Amino acid sequence: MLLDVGQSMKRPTSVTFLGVLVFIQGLIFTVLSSLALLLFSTRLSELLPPDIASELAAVRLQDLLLAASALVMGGVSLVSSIGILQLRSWAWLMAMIAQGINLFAEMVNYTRGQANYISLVVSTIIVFSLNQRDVQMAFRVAHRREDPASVRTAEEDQAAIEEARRDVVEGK
Amino acid sequence: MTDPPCNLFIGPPLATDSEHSSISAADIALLRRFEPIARFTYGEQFYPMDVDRYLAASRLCRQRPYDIAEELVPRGAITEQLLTQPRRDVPGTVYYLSFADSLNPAQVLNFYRNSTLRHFHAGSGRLARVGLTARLADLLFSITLLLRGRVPGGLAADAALRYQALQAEDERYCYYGRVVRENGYVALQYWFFYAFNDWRSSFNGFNDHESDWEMITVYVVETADGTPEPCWLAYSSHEFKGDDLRRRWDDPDIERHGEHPVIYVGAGSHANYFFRGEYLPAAEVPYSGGLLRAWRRVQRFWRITLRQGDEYSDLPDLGFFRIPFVDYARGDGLCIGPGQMHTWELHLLQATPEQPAPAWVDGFRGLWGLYTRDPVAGEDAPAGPKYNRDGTVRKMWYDPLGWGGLDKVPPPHLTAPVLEQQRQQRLAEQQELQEHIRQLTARLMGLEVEAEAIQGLYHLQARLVDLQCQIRHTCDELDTLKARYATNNQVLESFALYAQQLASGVRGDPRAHLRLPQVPSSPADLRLGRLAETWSALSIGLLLLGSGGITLFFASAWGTGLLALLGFYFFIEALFRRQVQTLIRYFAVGMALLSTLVLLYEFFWPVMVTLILLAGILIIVENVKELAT
Repeated sequence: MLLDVGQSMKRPTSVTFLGVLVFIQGLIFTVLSSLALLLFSTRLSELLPPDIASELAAVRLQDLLLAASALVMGGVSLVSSIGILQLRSWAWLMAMIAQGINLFAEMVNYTRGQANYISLVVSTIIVFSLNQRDVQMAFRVAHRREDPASVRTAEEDQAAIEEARRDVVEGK
Repeated sequence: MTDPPCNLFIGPPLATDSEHSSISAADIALLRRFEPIARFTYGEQFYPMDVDRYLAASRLCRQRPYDIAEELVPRGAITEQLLTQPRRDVPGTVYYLSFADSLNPAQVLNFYRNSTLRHFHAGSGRLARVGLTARLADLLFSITLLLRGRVPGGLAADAALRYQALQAEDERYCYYGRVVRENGYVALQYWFFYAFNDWRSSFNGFNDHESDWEMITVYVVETADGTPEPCWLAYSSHEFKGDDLRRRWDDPDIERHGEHPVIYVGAGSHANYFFRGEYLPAAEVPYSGGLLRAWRRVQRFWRITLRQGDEYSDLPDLGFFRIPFVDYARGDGLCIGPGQMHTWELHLLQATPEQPAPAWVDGFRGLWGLYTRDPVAGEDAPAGPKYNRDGTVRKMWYDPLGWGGLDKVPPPHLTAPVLEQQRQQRLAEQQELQEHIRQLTARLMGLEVEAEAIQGLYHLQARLVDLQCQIRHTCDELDTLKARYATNNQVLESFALYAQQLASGVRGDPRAHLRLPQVPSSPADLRLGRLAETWSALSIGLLLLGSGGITLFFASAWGTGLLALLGFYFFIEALFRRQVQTLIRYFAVGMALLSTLVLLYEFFWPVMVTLILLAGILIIVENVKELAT
């Protein structure tokens, strides 16, 4: 399948859905982690009632680090969502890394009895969507349009045909 | 409607025993004309030899079940009569020859110091070319060698010394010729007998065994004026068979010197290859076929049904069930054949008018070397050219065409007549179909008219129901026939195109029949750095040591530690193979699958109810849409 480099590429609906989902996830992460960090900051705690401020003072460094990581994750998700909507191939990889880490963290939380099922569901949907062949193809096509040197050669085409043929043979 | 049998005369479908067992002077000339050039790898210890000298230096032994092996005929005393005399014995008894004895470690070391093997360089090791799981499987395979029957250490060295002594007395390189005429083809079989297969002990391969029979076939057709024309080649390679073994004679990739095809012989394994290079013929772990098939089903479901993963390949091949072994067919060693430094001595497996066929061909069903009682038989010696280890006849012997997948392929000069015959059959079928369609149409119309006539007559309701049923069935049958008629028309059109192609002399793609051909490793595979090779050699051992260390010193965090260790290992592997992106995808998808399982476990009924609700809403939406339109 040699690609016509000049052909236009319209963003598939599935990619739009994916981009929006990642954006919302990033936004939630950013807002919540920013709020948490603000609450932890000394200046804000001075404005809070003394009993709440004393509770905040007991917050451990580990929680602060978690909030900071969530902020970074939110930032990464926001950036990758914009890249996804623009069909940038780096965004696909960035989103995959972020979701992998997030899922890993959520699984660790689950084993500790602190599962966040909504985050688990959203990240799972995002990963399976990113792994959809059509979505990957959309990014690949866009990448080839950007970088004509990456267009598959006739030999690579032949190898892919052989692979597909092998699939059929083995399937039988 | 079945196809009538093929009437075109293309020779007897199966040659009779007498035709198989005799050979004419013209056949011998054909064997000589197309005899191959064998190129060996530097370091090879054994070359094709004659059977007589091997027999003269061997003992005949017997192994009865639950008994110790006994020597029946001592070394140097084997005669044709002793070897081939009919024997009746308890079931499970194995007769075998024994050529070599086991040397002690000092003698083996001395042999390797003085042999050409010390100059053999394996290059990029086999372990560096495959994944972590395959390397683990390799480790397990090595352990199984300790448990199952195997050729004792030092046997290969002694066999090599004995063979070299024989060659020093009288240097000869032989093949055994056999000619079979079948279905318009003349199959010229070149059988090679080796005293030993030292693939495992000398070249880190899959197995060792005493004696080795390998074979290549040149398929020739004789044109109307009797001129022989070579058209196909098939080389034996391990246990493979079928279309992938053969190549078309006019394939531009095939190396030939005039009319002599070139074989690249695997070092130690003596498998035959068309191209120079290093092959990775992965051996399947015994009894793992069911798991592999299940894994392939999962792959198809993942890729095709769920449309997940990369374009053509996503889930990794289950390397755990395949043990990789490099077969070195470099062709940088000895060359034997016409125009080379060493030429062939022809022996025959069939009778000529002057002399009978060797008696051992039919008469000796035993093994041609040591019987190790290996349950997977990889280390047991093979039987002769005609027989399998269990005494049944080999496919390459009784079906030289089918072995190379040629039983379905007409010879080139008969393709056009076969095509024409097939066309005539299809035309006849079309006429039959036309007539059948006409009859059915008439019947259908009659049934419909009858149904219309009795419509509304309450006392004939039962008949009406019966008629409607018949109409339905007839409609279906008619539709099937019409579809077949239409398909046949398209087939006939393609026949015309193919006939034109044949008439123009174009034979199409010479590799169209290949599915999984054996090809040497690519240069990229062989360019793995020294670091990667070292890592490959050490990784499994380090992984096991690391796991042990974690268990001993960090028992409380055993699970986490092991996971971290595995993660680190996979990352290093991915770095060496430039597959970090793939690793990231596998990791994320793996976590997503795990999360799905967790979610299903925690919310099974809510998920089910949600799915049912969604299905209900979807049905309502679709129906409302339909109503609206």
